[in-house]
Amino acid sequence: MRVLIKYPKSTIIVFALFSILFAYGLTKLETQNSFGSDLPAEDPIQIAMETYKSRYNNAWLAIVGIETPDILDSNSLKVISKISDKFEELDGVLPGQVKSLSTAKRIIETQQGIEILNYLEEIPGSVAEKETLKKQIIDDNTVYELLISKDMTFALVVADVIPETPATPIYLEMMEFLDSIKTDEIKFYLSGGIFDSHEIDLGIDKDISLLLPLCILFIIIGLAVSFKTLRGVLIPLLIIVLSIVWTMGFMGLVGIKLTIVTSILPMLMIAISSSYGIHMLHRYYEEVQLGTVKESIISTVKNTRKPIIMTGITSAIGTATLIVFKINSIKEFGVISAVGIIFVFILTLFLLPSILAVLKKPQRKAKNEVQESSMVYSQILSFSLKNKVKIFITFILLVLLSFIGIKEIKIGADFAKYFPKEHRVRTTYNVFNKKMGGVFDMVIMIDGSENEIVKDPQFLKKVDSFQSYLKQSKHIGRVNSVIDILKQMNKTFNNNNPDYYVIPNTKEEVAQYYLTYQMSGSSSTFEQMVDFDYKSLVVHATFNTSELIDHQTVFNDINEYWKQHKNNEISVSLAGRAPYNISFTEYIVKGKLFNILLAIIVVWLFCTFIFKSFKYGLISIIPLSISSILTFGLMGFVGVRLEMGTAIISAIGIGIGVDFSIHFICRYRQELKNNLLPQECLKKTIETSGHAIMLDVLSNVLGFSVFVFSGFTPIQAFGWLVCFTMITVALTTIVLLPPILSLLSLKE
Amino acid sequence: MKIVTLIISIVLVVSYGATLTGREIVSKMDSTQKVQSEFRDLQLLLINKKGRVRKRNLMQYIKRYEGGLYKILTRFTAPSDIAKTSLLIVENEDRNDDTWLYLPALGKVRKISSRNKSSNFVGSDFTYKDLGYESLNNNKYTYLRSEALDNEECYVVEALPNDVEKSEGGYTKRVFWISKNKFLPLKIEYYNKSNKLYKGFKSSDIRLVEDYFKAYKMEMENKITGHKSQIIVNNYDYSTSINDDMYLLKSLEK
Repeated sequence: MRVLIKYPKSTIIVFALFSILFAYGLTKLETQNSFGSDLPAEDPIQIAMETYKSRYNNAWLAIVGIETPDILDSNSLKVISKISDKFEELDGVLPGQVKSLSTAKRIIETQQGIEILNYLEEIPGSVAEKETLKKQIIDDNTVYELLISKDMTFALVVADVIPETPATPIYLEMMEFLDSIKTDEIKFYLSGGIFDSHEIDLGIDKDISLLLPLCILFIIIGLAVSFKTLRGVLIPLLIIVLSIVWTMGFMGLVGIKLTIVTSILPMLMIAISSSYGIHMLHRYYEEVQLGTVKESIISTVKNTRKPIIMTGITSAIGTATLIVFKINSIKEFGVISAVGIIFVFILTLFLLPSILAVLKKPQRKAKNEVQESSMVYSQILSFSLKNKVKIFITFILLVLLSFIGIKEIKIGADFAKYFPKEHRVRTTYNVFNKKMGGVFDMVIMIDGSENEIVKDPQFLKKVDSFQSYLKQSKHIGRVNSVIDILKQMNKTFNNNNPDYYVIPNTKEEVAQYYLTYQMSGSSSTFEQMVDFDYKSLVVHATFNTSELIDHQTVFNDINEYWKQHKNNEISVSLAGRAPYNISFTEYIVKGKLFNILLAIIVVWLFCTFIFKSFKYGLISIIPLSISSILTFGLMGFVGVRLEMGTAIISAIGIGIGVDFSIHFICRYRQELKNNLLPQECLKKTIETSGHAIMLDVLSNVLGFSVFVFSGFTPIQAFGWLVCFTMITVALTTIVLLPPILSLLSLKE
Repeated sequence: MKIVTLIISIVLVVSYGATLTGREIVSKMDSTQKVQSEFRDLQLLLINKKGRVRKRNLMQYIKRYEGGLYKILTRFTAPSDIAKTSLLIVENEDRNDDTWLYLPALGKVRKISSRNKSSNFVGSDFTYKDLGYESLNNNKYTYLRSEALDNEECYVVEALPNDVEKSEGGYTKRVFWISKNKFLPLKIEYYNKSNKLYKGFKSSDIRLVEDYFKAYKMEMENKITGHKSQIIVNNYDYSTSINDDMYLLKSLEK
């Protein structure tokens, strides 16, 4: 340590070099907005999704929804054509696979034979022509309710995009085009994985560009209020900025991508790193009134080193416990924040003193200010010591009340609700739900026992029965598969006789219908419905609700159905966004419980080890435990759901919360060594460390409060709750710890 | 004297090759392919981007009629569940081709009308147009250069379609590598609206069959989807004449 103080300038240069390295890493940082990679590899849904991807021509979807008073109006029909054509031109869109009314093929029987036509070969002009088109659409189950809504006011144009294609260029080009063709009567909606992921990208960018400066502004205000000196603002600010650059740069260097969850990291870094700087600087101002710059620095470092290292390690442990979640992005978050915290205390312990060493002695702080604040703390202290029993009872009641709240906690959110009510994604979601039977898709893969079985009428009849069963569910919007095409063709090729809208009787008929369908120009569509060996097919279904409970009910029903109807020859697996969410949520709940317990235990053990005392170890985890319980209680009462964004709260709360008690207890034990009465020690502790804790909480709350302005609702909830956690931990530390410590000293 | 003759003939041959225009090269290529009647026994392989293969066996009877119009009968022979499924195409001068489909499982022959000229050949990456002959008057051909492809000297010719051809074929440009001594296309590149390489054609295993150079293996790859189709010819027959009865509708049902 003394070595560094001797050569502060060299230290500063070394840190500057590292900062350049990490700044470079920052330029390589990318966002990741796609779903589907977050579940652990052994999860059955994840396995099913991988199977689905590898077997079928999987593509990401870009969907344009067109809402008009009458979709059969010639302008609306022209719009469908134009948008379909436009999609074909875009980079990344698979050509010839755009699905819409204008690209759909009608296979019909006429007197001359079979006609394979495009629907919009000629735009209908007269009322009679429109009626004809309407009838044709209603009669075609591959179009009606799939590409055109039941009430004829909504149409879809669906493009398949090569996976991993960047979403933003497609989004921008399509938006520009839609702007150029829009009219007063026609409204457009963008949906599908491609456009949704663009919204997430956009949201993350917006968040960081809004929240980060805001957060820094708040911190600056907080620092200015606390220290009232220029260096009191600039030095902690420098540490904060460097910690962000180092952490995000590290992410860029190792290739970890920015997600909705990890996008909060910069703000988190601010909140955490400001604490360390504040504590050290606070102590420095104390010491420097009594000695030279050099001596004060040495003394400051000596006295704050232990608590800073301890709090650094406990915070890092706190967030590192997030690796028990089986969800990859949460795991990554845990690791990265732990790394970030370690960066912070390296910066605080080595860089901050070096900077102070090259600066002149600061002006003295006005004495009466110190006295003023110390008066408030003395009053708090005497109050809490006099009313020990009342305070204990109050806290116990609060904890019990919280347990009631905890019972009410709802779990799991859906993607659409990530965005606030007025947001494009939400309104689009609602419109799609209303008009097209939903957006939440589910893919049911049905595997037969051997190749070619998807040509077997017996097998197909079983799938047909299943589809009928599924359609009856009130939570299901659309259901479709190759079965519908097959039945339609059978009807068409048998003089359009509705009695033939059934599965054909022989394998040869099925095979020849499949061949005909592929020859009519839809072979790529066929490959999305049936696998290469004709061993398995997919049934697509959408939910018309976003409630996870309803989805779960349907899954259970599906599993029950196949249990009864399988006879060991058919295996069924579920993939798609809806099952994915259910699985995801389960992991969050299980992970959450495990995570909290682990965090508390690990932190407790660590404190016990550092303090070399069971008593103090236990005392140090009291405020954070109480605070966690209160926070969850609040969640339950207020209706904030436990999901992705809120799952990480406890880990952060515990990690940061323990810092307060560590600082407090450390200072208390230091004072005890000076052989003062416990009462005197508590007074000194609360005036200095207590004061620092409140400054700390002020800066943390200011920092975390910016999340309330996030574009993502789970992050907003995170902001509120973390602030609540911070405040309750600080108050508990200041109000509850003194009585406990004083009781402890009485016993001794 | 002999040396001079030799030199003059070489110069003549070389300059003959050099003075052929793009259109002349393509025209010659086309005419060497045009046959009076042709029987083909072939295997069609559909290969997805993961390398999985679907096989279909078929026989084709191709006969040329007045005005250079063709009748083509395509009959599937394998796999067994589609055996005897047949497609009959009759080219017309002034209107779309007539197409009939016979599905043996249903027993009847049905006329299929599809306005889509660029429809695929029995579910493959080849279109009928790709496998047919050049519309010499609807393209502008430009000789670009000479280039060796797999040790064979080729004329590289660019074809730019006019609007009619563009709307039928869907391509904005094609580039041919035509073998100089066989006048067969060894490679063709197809470019789409965004001027991107969209499909690639390759032919190989070229043999002389009764005065005609024919490719026994042809491959078309969709560069964007990664899907490939291969035609592997088991047998070409030009000598056996094809009975006109082959093209009667009732013959399809046999």
